[in-house]
Amino acid sequence: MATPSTQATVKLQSNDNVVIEVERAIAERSVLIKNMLEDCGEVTDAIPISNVNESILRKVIEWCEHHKNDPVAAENENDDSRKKTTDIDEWDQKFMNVDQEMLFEIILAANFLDIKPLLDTGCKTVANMIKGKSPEEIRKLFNIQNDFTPEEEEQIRRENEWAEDR
Amino acid sequence: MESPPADSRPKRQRSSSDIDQNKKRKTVHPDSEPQKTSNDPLVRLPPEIVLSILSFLEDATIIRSCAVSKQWLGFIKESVSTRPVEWLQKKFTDLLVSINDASSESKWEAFLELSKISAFRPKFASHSGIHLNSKQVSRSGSDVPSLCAFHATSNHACWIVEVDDEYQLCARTRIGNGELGPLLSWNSETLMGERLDRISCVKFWGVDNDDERVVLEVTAYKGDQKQTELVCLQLPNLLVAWVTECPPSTMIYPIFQGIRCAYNHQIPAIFPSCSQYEDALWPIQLCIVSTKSGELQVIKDELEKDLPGVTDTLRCYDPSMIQFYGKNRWILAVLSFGTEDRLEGESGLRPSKEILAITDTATGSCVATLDLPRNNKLLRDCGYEWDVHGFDIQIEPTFGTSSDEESSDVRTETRRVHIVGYAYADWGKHPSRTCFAEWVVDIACTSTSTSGGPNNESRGSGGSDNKEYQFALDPVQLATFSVPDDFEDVVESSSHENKYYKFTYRVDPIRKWAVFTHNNESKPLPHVCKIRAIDAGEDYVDIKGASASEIKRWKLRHYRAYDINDVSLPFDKNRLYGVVARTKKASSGFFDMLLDLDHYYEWEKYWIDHGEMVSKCRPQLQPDVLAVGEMALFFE
Repeated sequence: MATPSTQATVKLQSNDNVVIEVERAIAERSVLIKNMLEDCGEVTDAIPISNVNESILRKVIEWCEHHKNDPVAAENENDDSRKKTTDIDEWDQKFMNVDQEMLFEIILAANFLDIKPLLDTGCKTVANMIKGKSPEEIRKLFNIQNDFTPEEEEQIRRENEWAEDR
Repeated sequence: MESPPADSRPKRQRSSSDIDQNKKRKTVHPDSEPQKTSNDPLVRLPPEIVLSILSFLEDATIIRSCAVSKQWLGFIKESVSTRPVEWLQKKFTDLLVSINDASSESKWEAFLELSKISAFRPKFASHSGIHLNSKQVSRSGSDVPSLCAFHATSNHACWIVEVDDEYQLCARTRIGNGELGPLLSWNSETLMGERLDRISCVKFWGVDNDDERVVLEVTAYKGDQKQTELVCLQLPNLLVAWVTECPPSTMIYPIFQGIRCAYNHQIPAIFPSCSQYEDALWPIQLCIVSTKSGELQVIKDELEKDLPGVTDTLRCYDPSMIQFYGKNRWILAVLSFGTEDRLEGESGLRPSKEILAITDTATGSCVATLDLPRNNKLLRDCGYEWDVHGFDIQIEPTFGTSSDEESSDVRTETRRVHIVGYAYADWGKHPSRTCFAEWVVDIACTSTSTSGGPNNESRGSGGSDNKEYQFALDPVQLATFSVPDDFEDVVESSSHENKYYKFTYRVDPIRKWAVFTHNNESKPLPHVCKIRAIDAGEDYVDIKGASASEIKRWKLRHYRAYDINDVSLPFDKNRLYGVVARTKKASSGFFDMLLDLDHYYEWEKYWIDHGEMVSKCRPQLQPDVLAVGEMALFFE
């Protein structure tokens, strides 16, 4: 049976084999790591974070360090409140001011590590990028190929024109 | 030993790795390999994260995003099918409240559309006729306008939206194959030729017989001055066909409460025009508007003086009580007139005279009026004063046939008109006593091919064959009968703290059925919903308390239009159903909504199309969107 751990730091190993030592309290912003530590008790070895490379892992740790004192949201907290706004605080905006490649990697890492506030921030950032844009602008933003024929596109436009700006 | 059928073999449980693999498959765009630089979120991110991103977007953007790529289209269509559309729901909940005084049909149309929106079918815009101007609605910030009024049928939708302190009437229609007509909008200046402060409401009065025109009422304000106009929109593009010119300057404004523009009847709009008199409105003209030309014609000018038996002491009692019945050629209107201060110790009008006016829809002219006699002794014998609350009119469909006279140019048709008026002893509250009065009037209509012919004061002319019509009015019967006191018991048992209660009758004048609902204003759900037979003198049957066999008998007798033995409906034959709403379906006539009157609190509904049940639905909203006070019977 696992015993309560008192260790102050934990080691995280990225998928490119870089080990980063981090305060336990910061690492436990990740629900995945928190559960793992609770289940296993003392962990002296580095915890492999197999889906995250060093640079993304350091970004995630940076976020966790900044938000280490944030209240932890209840697990069953109603999603409605968080979905009402796409506002992102200034620090997070700067934090997310990265290229799309890294943004998606941060989102994936947050998803893997189960850091819901970071995941939400990443999703809000992408949502804000999409907001108010036309389909063509969205394609351009993410470099998406338009695979509709002109006729198909016209049909889609007609079907959804009630939502179009006029 | 037989091997088990293939499909009965135990299925392997899906593992999380399967799901992950599935996710991976889902997230791999077929073109992603060559497109190294694509950062399509649908390719880069698992579906649940994309859904999370979508959850932060307003619905208009999501809908718009369908056109990004085929993958986006498929994903969004699938993902939004269960997504609550809060902003649309809010808008439409608001509109349902705002159309509180709309007809039951309007309410139901809106209700149905709301249901569709709740389900958020991606293609609903193509099928429902609801098309909000997303530019006005979806933009965030304080300028988000409010939807002030809304009406939609299966083919058209109109609404008023407030944008930047300006009120716009918007309309859109469906043009075959689900295609949409252009979104049209008018402000007061473009609609009425004058810049007005705001447009307050829109009411729909129906579509004409050819399904070519929508008649609606628009009320606009300039300062404190109110201006109400009838507007006709021409389908399919909903161009403004006409706006009624204001009635003569003596009018303050018209009231369209009595207007009728029945769906399946080629009748124009008819309404009393009112002027203000000591803080009250009195109808002084009876007007008619042709839905073809938009021409407003005054049928009866100086209404109070120009009708037989109406003297200077009489004023039209209550314009909202003017009841019309349109059937093919004629419009019948019952006008009630009253005298002031007739009762000791009370002020105001008491109705004392009822007049039947008959309008020929071919000419738009009032062809005859008939002073409906009163049998005051009978009324007094009921033990209270005659205080008319409403009328229902119906033409007996099987009475009289066309007959050729000696001359083949002469043809006579006779129709029997049944009119039932109902009265409360204590108007506005629950009736301590109620009675019905019935008039039966035969109308003979003789047509000739000659242009002259017999002439009298009630002659009208017109018709497709250029024949003239002569009306002979012979009131043949007047009967008065009361409702037993246990009506009061029913009401009392559901009363709460003597609050104001609205008590509404609708009567089938031929079959002598009365449906009454009773509700207080704060809770529109009726506390009481009863059907009574009012024929056979004083023989009343309380259906709700009747035995199953009696109910069945009554149903067979009185609900022949929906005889459950004739159609394959999963109806409980021991229950009673009433028609509470009727809507038009473009391709196949009417949908009737039946309410299970025995379980009205549950609001079971059945949509009936030509005897076939289309759907049974349970509303997702509170039942007060229904026009519970307008419960009506349709037996045509």
